[in-house]
Amino acid sequence: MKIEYFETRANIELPEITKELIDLVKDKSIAIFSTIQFLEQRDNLATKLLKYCKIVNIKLTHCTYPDQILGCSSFDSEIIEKPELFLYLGDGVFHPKSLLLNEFAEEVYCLSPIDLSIKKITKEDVKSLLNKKKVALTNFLSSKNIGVLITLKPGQNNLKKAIELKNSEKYKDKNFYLFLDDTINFAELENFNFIDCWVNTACPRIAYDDSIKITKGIINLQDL
Amino acid sequence: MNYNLEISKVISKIKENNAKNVLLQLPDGLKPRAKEIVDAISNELDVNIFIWSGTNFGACDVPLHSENAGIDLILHFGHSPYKK
Repeated sequence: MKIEYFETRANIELPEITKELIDLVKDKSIAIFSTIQFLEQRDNLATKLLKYCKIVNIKLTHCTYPDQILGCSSFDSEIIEKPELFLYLGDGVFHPKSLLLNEFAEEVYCLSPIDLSIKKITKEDVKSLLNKKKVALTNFLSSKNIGVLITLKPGQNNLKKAIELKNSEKYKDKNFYLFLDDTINFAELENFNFIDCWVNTACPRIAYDDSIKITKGIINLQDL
Repeated sequence: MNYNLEISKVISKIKENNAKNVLLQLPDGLKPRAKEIVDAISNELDVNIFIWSGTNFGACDVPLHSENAGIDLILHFGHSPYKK
């Protein structure tokens, strides 16, 4: 099976950098991330900002290019030279939120590629998700019947780790049931009412962003 | 937002792979442009074109099992290859 990738980069030019942005970054070390769609614009912006601040280039896990960000990339990444400021160029907050969920950053400044307006997101914006993680861990430790979610999606398949968990000495007091699917359907999971708690081995964002969709607790394998 | 669908590259990759049955996989924001891509390919090539109606959350999310339906080339839009 052959796969060809098309990056579909955005065909736009950023507006002139604003005084607000210059004041924000002046004399600081900063990292600017973006999704693949705006990487060229990100590089152009970084070049323009060089006369005001230091740019720290970071290559996150699972990404093809430096300074690219995915929703999951910071979960397995280690930032060696931590910048004073994290910036994100792009739409929405899904990608920059990953930096907060992993506690790389206390806050991220999100820049709109349309007008370079700045929106700040902070740990407060993900506080409830981080609290859920703590509750889910407690739930897991006190649960008997654990459902382990495994996806067939090739970049998210962790079948081997799921089986290792099932056979682990550490949790031999628990019963592990392995569930296989392509796209995890939370409504379908409710049918398995004998499960006390779920462990997710697929995309790590599922246990955060989708935790609201499931009545029993859900925790990522890497958070055990 | 104006995104570059790289239509010429799409056509050349289908030819290069000598594909007969191709599957378009688009993220939600680009799904409305599926028709444009299908029409562009159809105007140039005689291949069977399928549109994946499921998810495209990232390059980690590719329907390899579409091979069971005879797909020989997946055209995945919106992401660069995933590094495990």
